[in-house]
Amino acid sequence: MTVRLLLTGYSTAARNMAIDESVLHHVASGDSPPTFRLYGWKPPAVSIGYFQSLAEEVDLDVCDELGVEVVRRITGGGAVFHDDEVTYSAVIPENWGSVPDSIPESYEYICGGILKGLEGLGIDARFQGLNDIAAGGKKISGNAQTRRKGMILQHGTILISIDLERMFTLLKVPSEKTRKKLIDSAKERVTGINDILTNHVSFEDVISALAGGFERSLGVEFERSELSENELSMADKVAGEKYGTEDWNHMR
Amino acid sequence: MKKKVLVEDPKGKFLKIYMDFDETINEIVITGDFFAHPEQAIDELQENLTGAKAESGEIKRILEDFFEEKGVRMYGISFEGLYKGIMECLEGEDDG
Repeated sequence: MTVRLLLTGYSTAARNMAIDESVLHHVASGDSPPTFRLYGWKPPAVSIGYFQSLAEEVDLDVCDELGVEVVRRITGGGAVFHDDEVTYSAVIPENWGSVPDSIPESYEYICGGILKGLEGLGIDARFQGLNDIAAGGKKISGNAQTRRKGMILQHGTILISIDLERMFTLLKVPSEKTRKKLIDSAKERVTGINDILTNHVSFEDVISALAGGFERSLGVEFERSELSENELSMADKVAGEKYGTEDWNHMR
Repeated sequence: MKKKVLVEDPKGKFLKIYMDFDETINEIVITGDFFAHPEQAIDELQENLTGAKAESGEIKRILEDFFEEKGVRMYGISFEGLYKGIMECLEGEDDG
């Protein structure tokens, strides 16, 4: 089976989320084929889960000072600091190939590609809980899924490295004292590819490894492609009229 | 009266609930890092709770009805967590 692969490089937070939504819309309407996309965030950004409160979770003044963008996702889950990482999104019909109907099982099914990708880089990782991947017991990838219009949109991040001090200045914490504790405990629980490998890898290395991982795990062949004209114009529109607005980002 | 509470849901995630109420619930916002499919189900639950009597029997009935509805799949949020959070809002001091 041939599947479309989009490598869209780095984009702003609003544009990244708008592209995912536009692809979801166009795969659902049958105008675009099932699609995997690999991408990054520039400038760095914090994304929050659909049900989170932006003002409660994120220190917007600090984000502003440090040039970090913020955006609400259409998927649930927690706040994520997107910096030195690769993000993927998969947009496939709910009844596609052998994808399980159960949400927990479908997370594991799609995450199988990340495990294979990490394996290709020499990292032994495992799927854990509902939607995480851990290497050496530490979380290296978080994933979130929504189901709309008969489609699964799953996106997630694979950490290359993580600056936890920076992350916890961007996220709101109950007090300075707990900030230190949270950082210390996160150091025990979170890791990145380049924290594990002695020969450090680049954004591009991780993208090729993940693309190969998804192909092997899902038994598909990727065909490199670009966003269609219609996808691009909807992405532009949705970036400006939804993901870039206070109404959406401060909805809760 | 306005209240904001943080409760740990037995399903493992934290729920933050904001409520404005007197005899009835004027406004309720359910936030957290949970998942609900479809997502709009939580907006509907907020609507169902808005205007409801601010007392345990009524809250319990609305939550039970919601969780009995078929087809809403939730992870990290449960009847117990929501009920606990809303009751903590009702019983606590005014946050202003």
